[in-house]
Amino acid sequence: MVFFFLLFTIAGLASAVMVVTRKNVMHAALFLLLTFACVGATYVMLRAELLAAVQVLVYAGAVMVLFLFAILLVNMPEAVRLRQWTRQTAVAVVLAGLTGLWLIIATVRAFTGFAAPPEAATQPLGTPRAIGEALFSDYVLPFEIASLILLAAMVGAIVLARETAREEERPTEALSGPPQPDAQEDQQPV
Amino acid sequence: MPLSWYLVFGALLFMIGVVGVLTRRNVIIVLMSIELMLNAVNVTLISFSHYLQDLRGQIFTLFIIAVAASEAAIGLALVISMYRGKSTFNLDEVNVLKW
Repeated sequence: MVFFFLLFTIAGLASAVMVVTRKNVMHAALFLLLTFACVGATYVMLRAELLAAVQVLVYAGAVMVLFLFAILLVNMPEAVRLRQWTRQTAVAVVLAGLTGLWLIIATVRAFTGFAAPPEAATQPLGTPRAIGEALFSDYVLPFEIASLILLAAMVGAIVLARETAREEERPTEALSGPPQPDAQEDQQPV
Repeated sequence: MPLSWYLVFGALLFMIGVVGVLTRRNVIIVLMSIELMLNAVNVTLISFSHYLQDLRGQIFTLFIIAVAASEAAIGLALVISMYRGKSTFNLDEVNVLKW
């Protein structure tokens, strides 16, 4: 167990460092995928199996596909050529290091010797049934708000990413009059 | 494993994410670093949920994952529209609102 913990956390931290330091965005995205997988593995060790599955599906699946699409839609070689680091890099590293050191000292001092209760090893807490019952009873309002947030994000993403495309189409429509037959192919049901 | 090991893992992951947000100019890598920080928070919440035997940490994490997914979608749509408008990835060149 200690071996697997060290394996997944060290691999996750190393690939997180690679995400932050790589020049090529595509390499950074692939290292981010490895980090997500390692974090999902620590969820399994913490007996949160459903959340590990959600982590793999949503982060390693959906979010990663979004990142890859965004990288592929824009011009990659330009991004590699630009200056990678801001001017305040040294200050930022020192400040973040101090913050992390403070967090580590505080948590280690506060929670050393804090062991899990004995029933934690035998009965898993985050079963799909338990989480589903909690979601649809005590947390039904946050659940509905989350669905609204997802709807707003979907509409917002479509509007933001389509705006310039619509403005490009407008003058051609005005010039050509009635839409061409091949222009209507997109609207047919698939 | 003691609880503090998981908390140290979360703290280190968060620290790496902070470094990424503060130092990189490439906007897509800044978004990736934000995802790293959200993952660090999720690790901390789930480890507390396990060690206190309380389901609320996992419910929180579920909502954080939902919000993070929508945040990634909006952020990447902004990146694409920014690239169309200014043809750049560089965060330092996007300073229209800067006084």
